[in-house]
Amino acid sequence: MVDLKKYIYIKDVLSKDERTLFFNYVKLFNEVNITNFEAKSLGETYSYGDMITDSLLISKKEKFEKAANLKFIETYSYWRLYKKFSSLRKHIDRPSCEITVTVNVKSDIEWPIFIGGEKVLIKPGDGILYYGAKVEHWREEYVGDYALQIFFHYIEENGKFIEYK
Amino acid sequence: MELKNYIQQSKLLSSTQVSAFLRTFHDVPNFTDAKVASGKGGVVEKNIRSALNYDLTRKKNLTETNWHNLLVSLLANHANYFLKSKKINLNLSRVVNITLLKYIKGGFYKKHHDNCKEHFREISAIVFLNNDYEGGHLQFFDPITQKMILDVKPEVGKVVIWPSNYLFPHQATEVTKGTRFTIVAWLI
Repeated sequence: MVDLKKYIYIKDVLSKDERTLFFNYVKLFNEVNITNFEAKSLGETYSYGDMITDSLLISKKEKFEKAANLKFIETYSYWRLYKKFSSLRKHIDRPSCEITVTVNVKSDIEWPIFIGGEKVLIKPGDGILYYGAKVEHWREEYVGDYALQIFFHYIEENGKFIEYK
Repeated sequence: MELKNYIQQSKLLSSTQVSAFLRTFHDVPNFTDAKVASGKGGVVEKNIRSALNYDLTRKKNLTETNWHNLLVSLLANHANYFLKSKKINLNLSRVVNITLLKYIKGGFYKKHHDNCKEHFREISAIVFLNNDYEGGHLQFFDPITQKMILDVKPEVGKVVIWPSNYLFPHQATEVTKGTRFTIVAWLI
């Protein structure tokens, strides 16, 4: 089994075409958005359970299972368009985010994530898989205009969070 | 009901949001002289209004687009709550203008009301973004006696909402120290 104490770096979660399509979709979403703002944060544009990312949650599962050598059950997907001066305080995720895969779709400058004390730079299209409900993670203040991230959440098929499926 | 009871004050933005907003916009290079409404459209009349203005509908990047839409959404919610709580039977359709205002030392806006034939507005809103300045009081007056009925305390993130009509004359007194930042919007 792969050591999941911190994270697994996964290359090419999204192809260039998938990234372009999804970024253009989010740009349009942001343009017309009047309902989806992260109230506890700076009011960033976001979406839970978007049908595009939920379909990716299913289609990308096998790739993530192979990387972790584990079996997963989908819980939900989420994306957020971070903006200038967004940050992410140090936290762990809720139990239904037992396994999280954070994917960098596109940003205008680099924005590392800190996970279990380690600074990781995720390249566009790549992702990191980690125990979101166990390992602390955070990001420092963003000073670019936009950073689009997708979060795919799973629980382990025979894990202790099975009631969250 | 007294007129001042039709001036609603509520929290619109958190202090974290205000701080990020001001850091994003306070030094954008596109501030222009604020105008006053006239028969010919907006004109600069520095003896009536001395302030700088940044049009938030410019939305020149993804961050600005998000801020604009967030403010429109929050202002519409607060304005609709205001109408409901005051039992005013009016359906608002949209925010017609949303602007960041910067009053530097010496800046002011003489007593006026916001609605006129050429610039029809139902509801006015002002959001306070800072309070580390002196002067720059938002004051409301009785339309008959011209006696001041409300001197608004500038709290960071607070929005003041009131009907734009002639019953609500108001002014921004001269800023004597520091810079006053507010967002102003109108709904129809």
